[in-house]
This record gives sequence, C-alpha cells and structure tokens, in this order.
Amino acid sequence: MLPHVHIGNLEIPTYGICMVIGIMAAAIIAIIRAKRTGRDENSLIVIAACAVGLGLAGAKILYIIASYGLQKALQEMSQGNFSCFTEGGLVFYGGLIGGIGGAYIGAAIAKEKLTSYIDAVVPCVPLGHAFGRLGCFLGGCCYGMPYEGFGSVTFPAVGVNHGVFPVQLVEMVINIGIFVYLIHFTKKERGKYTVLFVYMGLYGVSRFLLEMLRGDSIRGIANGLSTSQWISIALIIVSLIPVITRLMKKKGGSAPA
Amino acid sequence: MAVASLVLGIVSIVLSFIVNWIGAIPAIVGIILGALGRKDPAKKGMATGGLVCSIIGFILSIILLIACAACVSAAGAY
Repeated sequence: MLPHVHIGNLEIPTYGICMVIGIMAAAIIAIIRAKRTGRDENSLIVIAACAVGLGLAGAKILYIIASYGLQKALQEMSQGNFSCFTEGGLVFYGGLIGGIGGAYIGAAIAKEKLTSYIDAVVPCVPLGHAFGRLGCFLGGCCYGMPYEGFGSVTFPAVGVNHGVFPVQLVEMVINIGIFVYLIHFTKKERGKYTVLFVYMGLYGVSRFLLEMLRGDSIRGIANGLSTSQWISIALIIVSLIPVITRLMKKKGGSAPA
Repeated sequence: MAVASLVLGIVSIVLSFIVNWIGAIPAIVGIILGALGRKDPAKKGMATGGLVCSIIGFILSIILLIACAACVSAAGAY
C-alpha cells in the first residue's frame, strides 16, 4: 500500500498518478490504432478529450448521488458549498456512461461518425480501468472481503488491519485480459457496435461476480444487490440485445411461409 | 482555434496550481481546440503547442484532485 508519493513538500496521491497513466496509455494506444486504420488522429483526440472530460464528470456525479444523495448535494451547492466535488472518489459506471455520451459529442464536434472510431477506442477502456484498479490497491480502497488465505493483504493506513481479499488486483488482471481479448477481437471486421456490446457483456459479468468479493464500506445495497450489480445487470441485458435480435431474425427467416 | 488553445492551455496550467479541479475545464476545451486547430496546416505548430500545454494543464489539474478516498463502486446511503 502506497497512498501518496512525496516530492519535496508535495504529497501526490498514487491513485491520481495511476489514473493519469491509465488515461494517457489508453489514449496513446487508441491514437496508434486509429492511425493504423487510416482514421484522423486529431478527430480521435477530440473524441477522447470529450469522453474523458464527461467521463470524469459522470464518475463524480454518480459518486455524489450515491454517497451524499442528490437532494443533499444540491442543497449544499445552493449554499455555496462545493466540497462534495472536491472530496471523495469516483464511480466507474458513472464514468462509462458519461464517457459514451462524451464520445458522441466529441464525434459531432469533429464532424466524424463515431462508429468509425469505436474499434480503435473501446479496447483501450479496460486498459485505463486496469491502471485505475492498481491505484485503488495502492490507495487502499475498494478492497475485498475478509480473507486469510493465499495472497491476502492488509491496509493499515485506512484501518483495515485484518487480511482481506485483493479484489482490486483481480479486477486489474481481468481488465487487462478483456483489453487483450478485445484487441484480438477487433482484428477482424465486425458489426458497427459489436466491440462495445462485447465489452459491456464481459465487464458486466465480471463486475457482477467481483462485487460478491468486495468488502469495503457501505455497498449501496438495494433488494440484496449492490448498485454496481444492478448496473451490471443492465449492461448485460443491453449487451445481449444484438444476440437476441439476430436470433429472432434467424427464427423469422427460417419460419415456414 | 490554435491561439485559443494555447491561451486555454496556459490558463489551465496556472489554474491547476491555484484551484486544481477548475483547471481541468479550460484544459479539456484547449485540447479539443488544439486538435481541431491541427487540421489547419498553416497553424499546426501553434495548435500543437496549445494541445501540449492543455494536456499538461489537464494532468496537473486532475492528479492532485483524484485521491482514492472512496473510489467505491457505489458507496451510498440507499
């Protein structure tokens, strides 16, 4: 655990460093991939900037809604207190939703079709996320359930003195695995949004399962499932839409006249 | 666009040292304008300068802001 790095008198959070490295690595690989397929790098920078900007805003807004409650946050902001913006963390799913919206806006600004860039960008999202999870591990948040077996870790700086499951590292490895798979998957020409649906399905399933191994703070439980598990279910359902549509078309096509 | 990007990039770097998270807003606008400005070959140099300054401003703005105090999947009261 290494929550901060000290440079002189400056205390820099390692989570921030990991996030920046993740965003930059994902953006650079996306630009290289876009250039290889003859896309305009400058348009990709515009799309990436909008996606990152609105992604961070979405991640923060969902965190504020989940931790403060929308009403309380609005009340504090109307009194001129913006501490809910500057304190606390981020929620990945808010970032994903905001990022997708931002990418659409970026494509409109760059006067490009987003579908031309999806294959270059989407595989890089889990790479950036993997660095974020490494930041969680170093920062001592998002830790797992109590566990004393092989690989158990403690986070004394945040008051976790008993062994816990290193769920952050597991999620990091899964994200790297999804990144490698999606890079391989996009080598072949696919349907317009196929890679996005595959990513949502893979991450939705893995996150749903990983949530069961989490043990940090209050989990936002509703009807026995955490908020992230509910969002995971929604993602899995959305990712299945093209499969169901294709099956229905096949069934309709093979039905006797 | 190239000039605006350069100005916003410098503003974001300055703001990142004063009120870091606010610096991210001009930085992102600066990155967008810089990238769009690079499409014009006559102003590519200045636009690249604006893009680089904005990226530096963005990094400085968010690196100190994002501490993992509670980057929970969904910490919450509901």
